[in-house]
Amino acid sequence: MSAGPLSEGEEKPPGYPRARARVLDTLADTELLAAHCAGDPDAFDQLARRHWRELWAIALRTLGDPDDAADAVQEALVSAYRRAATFRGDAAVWTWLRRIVVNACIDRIRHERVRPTEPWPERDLPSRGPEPAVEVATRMAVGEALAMVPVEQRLAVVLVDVQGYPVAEAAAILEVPVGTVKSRCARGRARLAVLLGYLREES
Amino acid sequence: MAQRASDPDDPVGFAALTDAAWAARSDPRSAEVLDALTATRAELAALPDPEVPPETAARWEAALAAERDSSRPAGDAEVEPARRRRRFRTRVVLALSAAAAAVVAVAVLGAPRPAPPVLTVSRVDLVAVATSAVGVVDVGDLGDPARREACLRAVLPDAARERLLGGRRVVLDGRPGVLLVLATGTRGQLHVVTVDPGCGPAGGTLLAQVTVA
Repeated sequence: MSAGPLSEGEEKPPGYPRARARVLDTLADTELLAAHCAGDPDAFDQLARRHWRELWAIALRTLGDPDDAADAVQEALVSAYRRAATFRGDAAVWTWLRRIVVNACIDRIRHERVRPTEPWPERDLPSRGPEPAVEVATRMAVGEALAMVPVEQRLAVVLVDVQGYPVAEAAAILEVPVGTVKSRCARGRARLAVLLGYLREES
Repeated sequence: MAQRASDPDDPVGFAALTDAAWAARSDPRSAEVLDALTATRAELAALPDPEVPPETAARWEAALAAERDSSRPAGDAEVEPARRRRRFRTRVVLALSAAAAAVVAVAVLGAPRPAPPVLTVSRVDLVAVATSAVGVVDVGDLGDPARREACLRAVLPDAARERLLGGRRVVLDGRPGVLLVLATGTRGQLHVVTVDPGCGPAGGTLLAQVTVA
């Protein structure tokens, strides 16, 4: 079949790459993964391209920094490429890929491979004040606030509230019970409500 | 992306209401808490869906291409007999599958894609050629990671452990060579190294070397 990766400016038989991409595009995720395991050189690229926008969104929301997020997604894609044969089909390919990205993000945070976040002094936490204009000008941006939430709570909030996944799907990605996702979301939201200036911190 | 409110176990969002109600019961300022959580969730949901920057997507494609190249089998010299037999059987099955797939592919898609043409370049073109070579792996015997590492160890030891992002056969200032694009390990910095096609454990010739930042 294909001799190698396709690239711009390379001589190919007319219509070859487009026709091949169309054929691969008709395959389901599990079929693409199986084709990759059977040696198809383009199948995993097709699978990755199908999902990488969402993987990027999860990593960017979780890590905050675009370079860290790009590294995490790259690590996850390479890891998934290598581990494809170990996929057992007890979850959707979709869930499996997101789980690998989430784990890459957690790994980066736990090993302090992320760029440091500016510490946010407790006494400067914004609160709902009498002057809305000042409040808007001084309160924290959502992305910055997310970075201040503990990673387990942050991931639950990113998956459920930002990406909009059902709680059960988030639980499958995070490999924790549904109730754990709910409690992490509740705690994360409460912390965010304070950081975003909607709520005063408990004294 | 838009899967919001599609939880089959929770079609009307009871989880959110339960969370808010729990928070409200535990806080005397219940209305304030409910409002705050609602506003917080609304703000989170309103975050725009970020586009993947093209240069980031290109980096991922290059990483997968490098992975594809490095995962090709480089030989069976150390494979023990039992494993070799299993691999032989696997190969027969794979070969038959591949042959069948190739027949279908040729019928559907036309002839297999030829190898990229050998490029004639000069030193001033190297960076531009290197950019187009990322994701292409047409490096002859230097596709073997062990051979490539031995070659680089001989001609440019600092680059011996660097990851291959792509490469092409070239004719550089009239001499046949292989251009290798290598990740230096420093973000945004690439090594572009051109060596003779026979470069390997016995040594080789470094034709050109440039670091692109």
